[in-house]
Amino acid sequence: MKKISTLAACFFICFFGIAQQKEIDSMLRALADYSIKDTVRLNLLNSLAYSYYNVDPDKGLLIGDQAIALAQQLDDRSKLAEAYRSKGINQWAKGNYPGALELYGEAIKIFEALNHKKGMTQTYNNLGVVYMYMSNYPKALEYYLKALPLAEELNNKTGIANACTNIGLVYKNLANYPKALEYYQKAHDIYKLSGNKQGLASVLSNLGTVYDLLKEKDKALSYYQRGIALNREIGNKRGIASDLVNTGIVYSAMGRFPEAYEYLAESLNFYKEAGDKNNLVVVFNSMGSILANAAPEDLRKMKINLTDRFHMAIDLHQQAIQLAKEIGAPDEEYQVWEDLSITYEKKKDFPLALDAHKKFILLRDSVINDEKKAEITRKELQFDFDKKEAVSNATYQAKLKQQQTVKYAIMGGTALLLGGTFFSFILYQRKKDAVVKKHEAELNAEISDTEMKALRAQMNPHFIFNSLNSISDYIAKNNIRAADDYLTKFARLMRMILENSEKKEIALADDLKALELYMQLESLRLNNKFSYEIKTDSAIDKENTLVPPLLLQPFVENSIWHGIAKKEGQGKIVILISKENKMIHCTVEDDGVGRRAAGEINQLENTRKSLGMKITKSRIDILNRIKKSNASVFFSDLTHGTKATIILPLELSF
Amino acid sequence: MIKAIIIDDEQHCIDRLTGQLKQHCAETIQLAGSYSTVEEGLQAIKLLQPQLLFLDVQIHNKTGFDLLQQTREKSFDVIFTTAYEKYAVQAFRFSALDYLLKPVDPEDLVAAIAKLSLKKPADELSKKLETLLDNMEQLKQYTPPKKIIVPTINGFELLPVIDIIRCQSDVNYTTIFMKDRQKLVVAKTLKEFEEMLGEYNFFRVHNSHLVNLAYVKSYHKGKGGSVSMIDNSEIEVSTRRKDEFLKKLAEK
Repeated sequence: MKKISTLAACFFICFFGIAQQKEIDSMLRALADYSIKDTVRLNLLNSLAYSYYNVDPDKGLLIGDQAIALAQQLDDRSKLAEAYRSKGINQWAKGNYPGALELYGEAIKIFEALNHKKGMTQTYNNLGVVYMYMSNYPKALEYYLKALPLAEELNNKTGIANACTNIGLVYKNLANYPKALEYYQKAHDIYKLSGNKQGLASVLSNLGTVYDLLKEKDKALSYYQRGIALNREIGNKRGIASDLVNTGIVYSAMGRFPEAYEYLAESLNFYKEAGDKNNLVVVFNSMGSILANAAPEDLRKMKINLTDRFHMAIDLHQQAIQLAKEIGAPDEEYQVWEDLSITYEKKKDFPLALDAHKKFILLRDSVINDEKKAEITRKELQFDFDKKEAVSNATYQAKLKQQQTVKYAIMGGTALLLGGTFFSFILYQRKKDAVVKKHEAELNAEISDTEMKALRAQMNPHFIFNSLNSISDYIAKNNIRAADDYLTKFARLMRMILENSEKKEIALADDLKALELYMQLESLRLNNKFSYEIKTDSAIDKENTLVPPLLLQPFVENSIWHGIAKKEGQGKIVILISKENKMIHCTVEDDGVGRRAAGEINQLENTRKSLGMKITKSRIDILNRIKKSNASVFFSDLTHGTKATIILPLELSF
Repeated sequence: MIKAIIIDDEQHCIDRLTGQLKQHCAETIQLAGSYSTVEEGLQAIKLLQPQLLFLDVQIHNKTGFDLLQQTREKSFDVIFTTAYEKYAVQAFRFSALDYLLKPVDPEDLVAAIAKLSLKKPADELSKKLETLLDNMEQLKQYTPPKKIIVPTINGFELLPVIDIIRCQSDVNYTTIFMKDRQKLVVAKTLKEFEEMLGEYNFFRVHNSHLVNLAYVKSYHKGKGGSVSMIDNSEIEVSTRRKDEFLKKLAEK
C-alpha cells in the first residue's frame, strides 16, 4: 500500500521542467531553420537537450554532445556548464548515475568558478536528485542544503520551494518526520504565496503522507482533501487519483470502510483511464480487503449484498493478482496473496486460505531474495564505480579493501537472511560466486586497457602542479632566467609524456630521455641537490628494446623525495639497465636516508609515498596478465640509501 | 647579421622570442620588426626585405602557409614556430624545413640559427616551400605526401614518395632505392624515415629495412620470412615483425 505514497514522491522529484513533445517539436523546427553556429543555436540545443530527458533521453544525450561541442567552439563558459547539465539530466533519466554525477561535476566546477548563482542552484538540486536515486541520502541532503541558501539569496521562489520539497523528501525517507514536515511546510507557504498551484498540490499530498506515517490520521485526511480540491482545480488527474487512494487507505486503516471504499472506487476510474496497472493492483486489492472486513451495517451503507461480499472480494483480489502478473510485479503480488488468504479465512474456507498463504510465503521469500540480489548488484556497481574513481583518486588499495569488506558483509548478511533454506543457500552462494567471478573477469579485461591509460595519466598531477609552483616561485624571486629555463624543460617533458603515453611500449632510448629530463627538472627544483647517472649495459640495444612508458619514473620520484630530499648534503641517483637471460633488469639506486628513516621521518606521508609504487605494481600485474610474463619489482636496503629493482621481459621491436 | 622579422598573432609569443633572440643571438640576428597578421607580415616583407622569417603556423583564421603563397619573391629563410600542430610538424619534416616548438627552447633556437648561416643554393627555399604547400593539403586528409626533400652532400634532393621502393640503414646513413634504379645515400637515420613514412604505406620489416608496401612482389615463408621487391631485391623480415607485416599486407 505504500506504493501510492511513493508515487506522489517520485512525481515530485521530477517536478522541475516537464516538457511536452509539442515544445520539443517547435524547438526542433527552430533548430532546423537556424543553422548559424552561434549563441542562439547553442541556447536552442541546451533547452532541447534538457527537454528531452523525460521524453527520449538517448536523443537528449546526442543533443547534449552537440551543445557541449558548440559551447567549446564558442568558448562560452556558462553555456558550456549549462550544456553539461543538460546532458547530465539525460544520463540521470537513463539511470546512469555515475555518468550524471560526472557531467554535473563538470557543470558545477564552471558555475562555481564563474560564481553563476542560478546555475549553481540548479546544478546542486540536480546533484541532490541523483544522490537521492542512489539512496545516498546524506549526500543528497548536502547538495540540497547548498542549493537552498543560494536560491534564497537570488530570491528565486520556485528554487527555494523545490529545494525545500526535496529536502523534505530526504528527511521523509530517513524517517525524520518532524524535519520533513518543517521543510514541506516551508515549501507549502512559498508555493501558496507565489500561487504555484501545481507545486502546492504536490506538497499537500506529501504533507498528508508524512502525517499518515506519523499516525495523525485526521491531519493526513485534511491535507489529502485539500490536495484533491486543488488537483481538481488544475486538472491534474494523476494527482487527484493518488490523493483519492491515499485517503481511501487512511480511512480503511481507521476502520471507516464505507468512506474508504468510496474513495478507492472513485480513483479506479482514473487509473483505468490512464491504464496504470501498477496502481490498479493496489486499489483492487484494498477494495477486496475492505469488502471482506467490513461490518454488515457498513456493507449496507455501501449498498452491497451481504451474500455477495466474499465472491466480490475474492474476485477483486484475483483481478489484482492477474494484473500484478501481467506487469511482472511479484513484490505486489505477494501482498495480494496475503490479503486473499485473510479473506478466505474470514469466509472460513480454510483449505484455500492455507493455499493462498503458502503462495504468499513462497513468493515473498523469492522476492526478498531478488531484492537482496539487486542490492548486491547495486553494491557491486557502486564498488566498480568507486574502484575506477579510486584509480585517479590515489586511494586505490584502501578503498578496494574497504569495499570488499562491505561486499562480503553484504553477502554474509544475505546468507543469514536466507538462513532457513540451507541448501538453496549453498546453491545460491555457488551460483553467486560464479557470477561474481565471471563478472570480475569480464570487468578486468575491459578495465585493463583503460587502466593502462589511467595509470600513466597519473604521471603525475603532483609533479605537474609542483613544477608550476616552482616556476611561480622563480618568478616571485625575480629569477627570470631560471623560471624560463625550468619552463622550457617542463614543456619539453610534457610533450614527451603526451607522445609516449599514447603508446603501449616505446623504445628504451626514448623512455630514458624523458626520465633524464624529469631528473633534471627535479634537481633544479631542489637547487641541484642531487646528481644522476644512467648506465646502460652495452649488450642492450636501446633503440631496439621496448619498455612500457614511464615505468621507472615513480621509483626515481621516490628516491628523490623520500631518500635524497630528506638527507643533508648532496645525493646521487644511479640508474642501471642490464640484461640477464631474457629479462631486462632496471635498478634505481639512491644514497638517501633509506627506507626505515624515511618511514620514521614521515609516517604521515606514507600513503602518498606508496602510491607511485602501487600504481607501478598494478601496471606490472596487468603486463603479466596480458603478456603472461613474470615481471616483478622489489626493494633492497643499502648501507646508505635504497635500491629498487624492476625486472621486465625483454621485448625487442626487431 | 641576418635581418629577421617575427609574424605571430599572440603578443606574448612575439615578446618571448624577441627576448630570447636578444639574449642568445644578439650577434647574428637583427630583429627588424614583429607583426600579428598575415597582411601586416606581407607588407613588412615587401618593405623590409628580411632574410629570415619566424613564422607562426596559425595566425588568427589564416595560416603562415597562406602568407607564403602570397609572396612572389621568396628570397628569405623561414623558421616556423608552433605549439602543437601535428600535421604541420610532419609537413616540415617532409620538406626539410626548420621549425621551433613553443615555448621555444633556447638551445633549439641557437641550433636553428646556426644551420642558417651556411651558404645555400638560391632556389632552395622556394623549392622547399613548394613541396611543403603541395604536401600540406595531402596531409590534412591523411593521404601520403607527394614529395619529400632529403639533404645530400651537394644540397638537397626532391624525391617523389611514390617512386621510393625501399630504404636501408647503414648506421647513421640511409640508402634510398628508387624506382628508376637510382640509389641515394642520405645523412639521416632509418628511424627518421620510418617516423615520416610509417603512416603512409611504408613498413619497417627489419631493423635495417623500410619497404614501400606498394612494391612488394612476393613473400617467402620462413622463420620471419623474406620479401621480394619489384626491383628483385630480397629483403629479410624480422621474426618479431612478421605477424604485423602480414596483417598490414592483408589490409592493402
